[in-house]
Amino acid sequence: MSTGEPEVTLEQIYRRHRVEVYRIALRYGGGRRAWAEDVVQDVFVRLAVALAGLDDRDALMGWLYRVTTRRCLHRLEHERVRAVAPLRWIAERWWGSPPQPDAIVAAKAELQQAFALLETLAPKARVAFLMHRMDGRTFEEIGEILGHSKGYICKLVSRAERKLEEGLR
Amino acid sequence: MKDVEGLLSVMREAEAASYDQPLSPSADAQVRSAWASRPWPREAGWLAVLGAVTVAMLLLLQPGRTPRLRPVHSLSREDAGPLTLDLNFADASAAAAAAHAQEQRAGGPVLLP
Repeated sequence: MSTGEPEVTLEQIYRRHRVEVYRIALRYGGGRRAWAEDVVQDVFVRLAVALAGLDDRDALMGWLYRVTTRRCLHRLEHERVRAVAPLRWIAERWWGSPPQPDAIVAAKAELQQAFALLETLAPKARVAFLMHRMDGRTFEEIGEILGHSKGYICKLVSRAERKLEEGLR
Repeated sequence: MKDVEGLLSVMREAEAASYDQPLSPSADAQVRSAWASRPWPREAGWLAVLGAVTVAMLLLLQPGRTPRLRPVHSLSREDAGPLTLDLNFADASAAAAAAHAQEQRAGGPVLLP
């Protein structure tokens, strides 16, 4: 990735891959555009630092997928901590009400229901389930990205499926 | 949406259609301004610490503060300085005589102090 001026390369990568990163972030963020845009910003700022260490396009794609997923999981887990009742009370006093889901996405009732169901899962289970079922990632790959064993991810995904099935009944 | 497959197909449809929207211009601008004020890479912090430690070590180990060691074979007679052996034969012989007398009394050898 070191061919040409770094700034130009970064801009090209951003133009080419921002939609992909945004799409992944929207999925995990339950369709919240502002949330997903924050993730995009976070990922591409990190890319600006890490770019010199990436040697080819395949490495770049893997890097973007990995970092986007991890950033989303980090944010979701952070939100879950803030959602604990006493912390939520403090957080709302300090930072105001959490942002509401975007109107564009909320218009789709089925999608809203899908997001609501997915939100019943713990962040890690949600991310692992969607990585497996939406992106076709193997348990091994997911384990590598999220820093867990293949067996743990397998359990996490099957538990998530069972919980979703129960929710859909 | 009756089962998990139905939920996934709703998600896929949404990703194919509604999600395929460009980022808002303000988000684009934020990314570019973040690049302009790019944070230092994590390695830079470690390099700074390493540099500070190296400088501190160099200051502590200045050539004037510690004796410079030279290999033994390169030393000359002058490096050793004047020989000042101060032997007090009177004291030594008195101690030997006292030890001998004690040895006689004890019936065995006595170590000289």
